[in-house]
Amino acid sequence: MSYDVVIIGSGGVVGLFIAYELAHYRVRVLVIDKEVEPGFGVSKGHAGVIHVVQPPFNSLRSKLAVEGNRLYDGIARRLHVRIRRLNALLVAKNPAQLIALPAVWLILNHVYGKRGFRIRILGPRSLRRVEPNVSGLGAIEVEGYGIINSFELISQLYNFCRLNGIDFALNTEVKDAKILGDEVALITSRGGEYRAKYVVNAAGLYSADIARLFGDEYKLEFGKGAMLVFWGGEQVRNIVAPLQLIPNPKTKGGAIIPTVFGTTIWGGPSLSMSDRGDRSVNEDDIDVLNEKFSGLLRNRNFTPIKAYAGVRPIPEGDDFVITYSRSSKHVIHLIGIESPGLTSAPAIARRVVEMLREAGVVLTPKDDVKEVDPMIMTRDIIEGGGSINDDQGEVICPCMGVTRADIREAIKRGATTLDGVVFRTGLGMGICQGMCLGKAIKVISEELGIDPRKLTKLGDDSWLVTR
Amino acid sequence: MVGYTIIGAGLAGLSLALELRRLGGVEAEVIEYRDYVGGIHSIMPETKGFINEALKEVSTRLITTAVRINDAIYAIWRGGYRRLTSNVIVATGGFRVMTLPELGIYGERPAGIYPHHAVLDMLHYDLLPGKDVVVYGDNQYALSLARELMRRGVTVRVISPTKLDTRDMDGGIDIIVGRVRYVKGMGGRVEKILVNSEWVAADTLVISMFKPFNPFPEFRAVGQAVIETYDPGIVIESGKIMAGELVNRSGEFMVIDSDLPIYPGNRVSRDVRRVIIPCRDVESWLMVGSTSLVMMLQLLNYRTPIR
Repeated sequence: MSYDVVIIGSGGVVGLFIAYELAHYRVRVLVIDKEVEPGFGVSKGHAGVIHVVQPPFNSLRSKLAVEGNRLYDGIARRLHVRIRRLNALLVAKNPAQLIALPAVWLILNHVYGKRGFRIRILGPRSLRRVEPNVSGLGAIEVEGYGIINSFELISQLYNFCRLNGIDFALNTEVKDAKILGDEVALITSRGGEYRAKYVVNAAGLYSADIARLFGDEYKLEFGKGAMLVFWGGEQVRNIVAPLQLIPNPKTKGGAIIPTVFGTTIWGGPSLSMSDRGDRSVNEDDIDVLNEKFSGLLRNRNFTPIKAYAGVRPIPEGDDFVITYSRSSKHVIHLIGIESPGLTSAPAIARRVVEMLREAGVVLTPKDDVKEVDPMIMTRDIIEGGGSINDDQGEVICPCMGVTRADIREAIKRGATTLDGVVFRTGLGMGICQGMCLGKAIKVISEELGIDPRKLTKLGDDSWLVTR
Repeated sequence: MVGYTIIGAGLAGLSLALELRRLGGVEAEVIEYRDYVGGIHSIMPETKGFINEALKEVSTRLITTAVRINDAIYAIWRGGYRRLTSNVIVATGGFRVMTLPELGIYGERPAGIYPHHAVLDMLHYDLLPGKDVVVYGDNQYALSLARELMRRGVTVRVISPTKLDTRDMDGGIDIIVGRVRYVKGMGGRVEKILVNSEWVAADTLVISMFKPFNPFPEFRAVGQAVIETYDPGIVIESGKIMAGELVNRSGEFMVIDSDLPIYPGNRVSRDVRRVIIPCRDVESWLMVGSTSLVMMLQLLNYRTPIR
């Protein structure tokens, strides 16, 4: 089959944003991803933060983060994705940090103040008022951050693309590629061959491997960051991190982050590692989180419900690489799109579309772009006092109020696995961490019309039940 | 007489509804999330008799769930819902399963890690969580689940941090005293589990370590939501005591001066004459076995009325 543009590895938020941009034009686009559902790659492991401050300040990722940040309110409104704007606080814990606040203010204000982000110094009293549960002598407050339901974002982007004629080949790996003059041939793991006039490599952790198929060499390292999720009760109102004057690689980065689900994430620093498939969380990771964050909070009496790890691709030079292949302008590589990849994604997508245009893709706007509907959950209907039908009243997950009708809606929106349903509905994400899974597995299988033994958590051999 | 809505048709909820009827003819509707009653006791043969008796007199409404949506709590059933407001509701929540970070279990999160209650439902639907199962639990429910899984042909090992009393069990359960520390997966499914310092090959880890949990603290709670006990008899008793409190014909109260937590509270109706005091430590010198974490106190000759 032949396409104008093939995006490899577009199950992630970056690839989906590129597909979303291209969905506005009269071009034939295919998305290939090795995962069974969009969002199961790098994008699975982040905390849903829309960033502002991103050192080093002259880097590409710093620039794209600011551009992407600005685009998010419009996108969230259009795609009906929950977003909340808030501030970030860098908290001074000791007098040495306190007296450094003006210097930090000067630097941040110089870089971000003129881009329209307000930077303030908070004294102890203001800090107490802004963040009653944070203990510290003072803080730098940076406006313009955001938290977003990233699962909903990915699902809505995916559905927007499907609705507007973009094809998806999921659970499919690209094994080989050949540049044949003005065309590229892609051989996949499923034996299929696709022809594309242009290829975008947005393969995340595998982007260097895909680049190699085109004869381009990039060195990629991998970094793993552990996250600890807490249930219930507001720990912080904004994103809170300890101020660090002397960066220590073991504790660099990370913050206490409120989520749109009402939970709180302690997001840890990213430590380098060799195995990109390793998403384990170890005792050391949790110790680092405790050491880093517990001193910031007055009340620490919260229940940790879940630990997970995100893996990020770190390129040489520690900056995003967005470039044409050395062998052809028909191939564009995106290498090492790590944090702030979510923030930057809308801006990266626009840049890639411009690069495609420059390389010769004719982009004629469509005049019949279709919009996606919001995903309305039963709990939203009940909250609004509306009436419900039978399946809307069959609650499967009591903690999050997820019903059979919600599960069916998630399936309609592309869920084929347990995690696909979980991401779209919040099922099992509550304090009980899946006491409802027995019932959920039965109902999801029924709604998918498959034997429960065939249902998986996230594809591969991640089977759930037997008989 | 007021009608009550009772959340959860486990032993405590059924016992409470039954006793309300017997004491004062008070009607109660027991709502239940599942399509069967008995909750965590549904696979324990010794409670079948009580459950069947209760069902003859008590009205239960299955597949009807209490859900918190922002600040309000609703009962939701197929085709409708209503808001639950205070003083007519007595919540029966029960235990929650402890989370992996709480238990200090590190590693990966492949498919095949299930909370105890999820497995109860699987068994009810004739599904099995796996073929080679590790049950991590320090209580009789863990053992009852292990027994039921074995009955269905599953290979089961029980890991318990403390020594377990297995007197009542038919033999053959493999129990390892130790802690689960790490889980490793392969192809997306549990492959092996680190117990103390040894790896155990298994495709499934079931968490049967519990904490009392009341999801609706604004309502009065009964049973395992407030009392940490693994004894079905005491759970049933807690329902009876709460019924006595609610019916309370005399209107006379007394206050028990105590540092220990008391169920249903330090201020109790004189009609009740019984309270429950949790006493983990006393348990060891009374040698009553690990199932009883609770001692019942008879208040027969206790007379310190107030008001």
